[in-house]
Amino acid sequence: MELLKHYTLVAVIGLLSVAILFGLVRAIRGPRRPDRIMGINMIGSFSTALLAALALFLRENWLLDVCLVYGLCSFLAVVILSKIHISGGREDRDGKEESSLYE
Amino acid sequence: MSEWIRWAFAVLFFAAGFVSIAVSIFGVFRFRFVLNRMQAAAIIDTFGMFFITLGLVLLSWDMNYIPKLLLILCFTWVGSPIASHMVGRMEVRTEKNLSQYMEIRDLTQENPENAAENHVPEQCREEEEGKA
Repeated sequence: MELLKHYTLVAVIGLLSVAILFGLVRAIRGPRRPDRIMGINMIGSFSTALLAALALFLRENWLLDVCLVYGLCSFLAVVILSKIHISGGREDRDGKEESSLYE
Repeated sequence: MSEWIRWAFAVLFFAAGFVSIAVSIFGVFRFRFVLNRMQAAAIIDTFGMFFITLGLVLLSWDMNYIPKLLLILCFTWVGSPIASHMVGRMEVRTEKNLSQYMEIRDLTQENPENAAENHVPEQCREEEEGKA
């Protein structure tokens, strides 16, 4: 039974790794910044799930704490990147010069 | 015996989670506009994470792991809508040719009663720009 659980977790970790690659492709291909940030958000979600599976696979309880903090940091990164882009891009749409955040 | 049943349900949940993730990834690459893609990507944070976390809970069945796994699920569910909202807002605020992708209705033209209500955000925006 332990061996079966082991192989199940290996399969889950492998499939999540493949999913992370798809997120990376979306983040690289873009074509615009919101697409890239969405790709980063996807990678963050997959990594959180992967870390949780890894915690069970290695039987290390502390990895779940890492996973929790990683999930929060990933969410915070998306919100902050969006905020930065909005503050720089609003003047973009109105045809004025770009904000100093991009300089 | 109960361990086998738990394992079977865990595998079932993992399968459901990966089907959700596959559908989501298909949508992310198939759709042409970022707001549609965002909709597809949100499936990962809701259904995908739910099923995978539930599978992990059943597989571990240990009180050292279960509360933390459920906490991770809670944080994801709280954070995902906010992140999606920010990405959507970013797109609407920064896309110059938004009307190419969707119909934008000017409610002040259609119904003058809405004019006063809709004028408030515009005023706020002007004030913000004035401060900046």
